[in-house]
Amino acid sequence: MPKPPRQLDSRIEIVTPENIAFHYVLAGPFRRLPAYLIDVGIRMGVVLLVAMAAALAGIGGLGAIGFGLMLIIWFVLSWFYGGLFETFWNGQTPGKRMLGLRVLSVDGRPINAMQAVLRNVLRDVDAWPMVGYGAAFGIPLYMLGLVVVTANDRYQRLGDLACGTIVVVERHTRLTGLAQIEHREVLQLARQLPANFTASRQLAQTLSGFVARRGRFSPARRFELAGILAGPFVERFRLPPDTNPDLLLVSMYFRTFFADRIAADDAPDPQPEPAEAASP
Amino acid sequence: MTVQLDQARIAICERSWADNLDLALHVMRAYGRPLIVCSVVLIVPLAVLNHIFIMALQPELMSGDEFTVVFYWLACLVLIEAPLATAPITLYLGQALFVEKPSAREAVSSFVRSLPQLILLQFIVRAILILPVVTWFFPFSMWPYLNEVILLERNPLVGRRGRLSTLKRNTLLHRGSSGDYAIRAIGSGLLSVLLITALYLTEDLLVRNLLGFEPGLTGWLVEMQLAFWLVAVYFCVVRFLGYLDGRIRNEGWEIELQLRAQRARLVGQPA
Repeated sequence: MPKPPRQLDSRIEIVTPENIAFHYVLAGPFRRLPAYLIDVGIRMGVVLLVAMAAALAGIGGLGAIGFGLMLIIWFVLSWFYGGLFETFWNGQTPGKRMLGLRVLSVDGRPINAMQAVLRNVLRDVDAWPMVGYGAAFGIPLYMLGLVVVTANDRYQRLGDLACGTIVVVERHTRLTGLAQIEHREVLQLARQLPANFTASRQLAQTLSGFVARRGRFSPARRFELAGILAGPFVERFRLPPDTNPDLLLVSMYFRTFFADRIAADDAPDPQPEPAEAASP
Repeated sequence: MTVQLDQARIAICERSWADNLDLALHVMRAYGRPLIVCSVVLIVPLAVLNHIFIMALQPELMSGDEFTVVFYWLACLVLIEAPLATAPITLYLGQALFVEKPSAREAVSSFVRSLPQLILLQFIVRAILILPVVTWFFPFSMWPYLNEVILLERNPLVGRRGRLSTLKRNTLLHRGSSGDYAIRAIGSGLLSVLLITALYLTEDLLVRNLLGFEPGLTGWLVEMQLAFWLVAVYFCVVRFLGYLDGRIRNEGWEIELQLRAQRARLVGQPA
């Protein structure tokens, strides 16, 4: 049987050398853009502050030194801002930290200093073409970077490809566990289901998905959705035709995931212990 | 044509707008060749018509402040024509989501059946709203996925026999989300301007430096239209992904697909 083509998605699985699988959401160019703009803003802000300080120093006769200092800061920020932050902040710049992005090696490990610096130095290649006043003061259009990012599966620009890095979104998801549904009607209907009812893995997933989301829909939509699958089961279980489809699916979910609770409810009450054994 | 409702080619899950913008790049790469074919079918003739229309305006308009007049007309024409011009892409993506080899015949037949509604709702009404500029915002913030409703859901223009009309279905789909759509429309507008500018400047740079000639009025219009239409195609894919996301969030579409696929397995019928 031919293998189905891979689904198009931004989520990837990375298996670390320790054979642990991590799931990440990749950050593409448009997710990275706001973080980039924040970093550009910070850099420009720092340069502006230094320029103002240089101007004030000029009043005191230290203008040339102030201007030279500003140029040095401009140079350092242009070339090493990203590299230094990503080295010491474990793959994050202030912009990336604000927006929950992080640079990782393609094998899921943290990046090292060489990767951090090189991927940021190569940014100028991705930024091609520049319009205006050359590489230092031009406005980058990032068309080459956009083409390269589109051409590979992990949204890697040239700098990422050269250094073996990816940018991922840090998501802190909470495990929600099983939905607790214990309405009287659900329990009653769950007891009416045939004793030999067992849900296949796919059916169990479908029921779980429905129960997890049903609270977000209007009663009419819930009814409509449940009706899609409930029909065949109403016939199969020989239930009354007017059985509420929403309740039926929820009770099937309950039977699938909480069967032990029904069994416990159905069990006869334990016999009271004899008060005292009769003495011979 | 085997339809596997719970095994879509694009992962069916909730995504943010930024995720959709990024994923659209992958979708364009994965379906590159068919998307080019679908784009060329209607965009090229419309681009030629636009060119003739703008050239009919006096060439002197290209100088000084009058440049903005040409830019205004080009932007208006592309905004008005985009739903019609990108309809084959929407139809293709709608099929390609579930089947490996979409049927061209089915796509053409769907397009022909949807054409009256497209012309009425997405061409005439849209033109009335876009041309005065102040109201251009409405189609993008009030009913951004009308094209998908017309082309992929194929409701009748007037509701009958228990079927919703296109406008009723459109209202149900977009209900309660116009604030989100308005913000997305502003974001899309800004991003479109950035992308069009970047594409145009890159094209111009390549033409001047690689091909070594000075583009005149015709060259300028070709470069400009190429930039506009590339962005229109990209945003058509983004809109398609946004439509899927809207249906997932508002209607639990991914649950519906799972339930339908499960039912098909149970009763042994194709989904």
